[in-house]
Amino acid sequence: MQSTARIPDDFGYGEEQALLRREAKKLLESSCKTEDVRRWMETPAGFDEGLWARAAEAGWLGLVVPAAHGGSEMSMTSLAVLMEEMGRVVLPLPVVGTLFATLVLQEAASEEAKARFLPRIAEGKLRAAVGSEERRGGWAYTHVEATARREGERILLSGAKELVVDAPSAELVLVTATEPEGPSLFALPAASPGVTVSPDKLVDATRRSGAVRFEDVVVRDADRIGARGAAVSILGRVMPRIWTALAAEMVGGADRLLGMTTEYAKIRQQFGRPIGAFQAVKFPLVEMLARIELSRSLVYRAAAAIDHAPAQAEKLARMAKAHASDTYAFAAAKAVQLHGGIGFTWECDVQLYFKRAQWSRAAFGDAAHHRRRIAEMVIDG
Amino acid sequence: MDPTRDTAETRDLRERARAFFQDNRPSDPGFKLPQTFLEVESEEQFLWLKAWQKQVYGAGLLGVEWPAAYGGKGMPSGSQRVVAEEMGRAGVPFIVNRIGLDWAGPTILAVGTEEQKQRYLRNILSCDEVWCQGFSEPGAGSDLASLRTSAVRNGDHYIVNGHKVWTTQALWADFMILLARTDTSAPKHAGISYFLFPMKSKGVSVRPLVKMTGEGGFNQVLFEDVLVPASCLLAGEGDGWRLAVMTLAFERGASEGSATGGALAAGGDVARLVALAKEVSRDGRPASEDPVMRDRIAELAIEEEALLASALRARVPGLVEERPLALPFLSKLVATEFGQRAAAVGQELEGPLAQYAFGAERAADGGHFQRAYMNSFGFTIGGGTSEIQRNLVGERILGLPKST
Repeated sequence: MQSTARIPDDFGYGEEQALLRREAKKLLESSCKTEDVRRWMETPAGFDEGLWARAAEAGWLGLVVPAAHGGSEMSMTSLAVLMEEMGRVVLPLPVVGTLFATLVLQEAASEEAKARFLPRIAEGKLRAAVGSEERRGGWAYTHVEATARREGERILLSGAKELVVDAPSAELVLVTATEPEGPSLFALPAASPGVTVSPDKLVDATRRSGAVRFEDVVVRDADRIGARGAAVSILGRVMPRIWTALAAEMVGGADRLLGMTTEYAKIRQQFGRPIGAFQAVKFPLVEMLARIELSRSLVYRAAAAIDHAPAQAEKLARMAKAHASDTYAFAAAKAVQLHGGIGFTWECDVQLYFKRAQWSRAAFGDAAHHRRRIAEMVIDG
Repeated sequence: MDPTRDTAETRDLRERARAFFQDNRPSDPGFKLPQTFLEVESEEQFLWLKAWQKQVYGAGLLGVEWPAAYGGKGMPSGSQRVVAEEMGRAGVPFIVNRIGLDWAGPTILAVGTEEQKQRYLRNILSCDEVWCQGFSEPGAGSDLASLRTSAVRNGDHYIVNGHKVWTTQALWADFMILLARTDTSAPKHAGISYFLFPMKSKGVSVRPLVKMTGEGGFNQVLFEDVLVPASCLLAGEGDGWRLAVMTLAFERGASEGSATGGALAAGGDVARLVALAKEVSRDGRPASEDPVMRDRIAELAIEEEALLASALRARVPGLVEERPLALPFLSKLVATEFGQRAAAVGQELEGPLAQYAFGAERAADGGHFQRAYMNSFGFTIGGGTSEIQRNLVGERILGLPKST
């Protein structure tokens, strides 16, 4: 059945989005320079509370939260704009985990739970994370070995979630655990007895994650987000937003690498001319540009589909994540190579982006993972 | 390829186009049809394709973005793309007068006199007059501005002498957009002029060339003291390079006014690959079940979608704010290289059957992808090679220093 919903010609990109982009650029370029990033990434928390507060003040943490719950209720296209700008400065804030949790809560939580969590998230007073992947399931959020065992009024959760992005700074963790009806989502305060969060050592020091383990942690029916056994379908509706948001962030990062490397190619002289005059240098830069522009088109197409044509959302979002993952990895590799010796140093900012690219590629499904699903849609119908 | 992208204005056009191509799909002519406008090699093919274009124009589906005063429909930009998508979808033959429609026509529309517009445009659409392009020369390929064909003013006429190559459809063309040097003392870019040159003039000889596929389609054209009226000049003497750049931009698909849709609007390759994958077998199972082949197809499906999404994004000013010209400058490069990869994957899908030549009785999909792969090089070389495109993008979009 062909969906009649159509993506608007302007991709849902108007003055509001242009304004958001200008404001985001202004704030991020002045308060998140790479020397700041380098300082923050060496701290245990990995981010600056002052910048977190400013992000909240700017309305970014509640960007997609409904107005009724204290948010700005903006579109996925707006979120893509913001993520693109955040990616440009390798912003080291725990925004992904909180965004993920926000989307899950909005999608499935009771009005009571929304009212309890969302306003505090929008104000920057509550950080959250979602444990949706386990060691043996890899990227498959459908693979849930964690269990939810009922004992009278109490539900006992036991299991372990791997690489839960932004878990170390989260006060609230949403986890999947299997009930007789199938996997369900539960909201756990990170401080609950029996919950341990062990921070991970990641390839990208500007981003944090943790292993979340829970052993007979007691929750109640009211802590379940959505219906019993509904976790897979809830996450199925949320994931396209996460893939698209990350793809947008990757496009921003790749674009900054292109800018840095292009500038370097204009300045760096060898054989009596700027290296950018050599086609061996120029052509890979053009290839970076081409891939970035194509990725960006998919990102905004996916975002607009999520907002306006949900039937196309999953496919386009997977395409955006797959393409952007490859683009960022390619841009990172070329950026190091074309910077030459200096590109291989700790001092050169390229490394920050290179590692973010490595993390992003491997988070929430790499290109091959998404292509496997896309093949099902394109070939098997 | 996706009707959900339509505006209210284009939806009606799409429906009309779809209905027309469904009801008027030409029957098998009984001889081999060329794959693209670059491979028309016999008069039989040419006349058949000319009749087909006439029929499509008659249905109101060509030149839809051109002003009504010159035979068009005055519809908004992007409209012709809708027709092109429906043609791809229906799998009907191509429009033969492509150089007239997408190269010469838009250039004449942009800079021609009222008289020139009246004289040439309508006949381009109806295919009553066919155009070819006289840019490249044996000594002037990628370095086009070094061209040596000369046009010397002599009263109300010019006398043309020289040699052009890779001239598609020169055998049947009525006119040529011709670049010739009118001032040998000026710097190389400044001495060039642009002519709307009548091919049936005395002193013009056309010699067919054979492509690597064994097909004809392009030619050499020799000019020996050809006398043409001075009114054939487009714009002024010495404007040739500027106009050539404009034509090449139209050729790259940079223009939304192009009659058969910009290069970025290409599509349909993946659907054909999927059909092929289900038809051919490996290890006794459909190739469409082979994980490696599935990955290849998915990769191309993503790229095809990215090209389509880019064609649409290019029209949203807010989404191209930082580099407004990047997508138009990239479009020829990315679309032609995509087509080449898609054709290569088509052959890969066929497994051993890829050994069959085009037209072999036992070939899969008639050997379409074997021919398509070879012909794809016509697109990555013609109209400014991929290498020249990369130079252009590197210099014009990224601001890198010139390589020469």
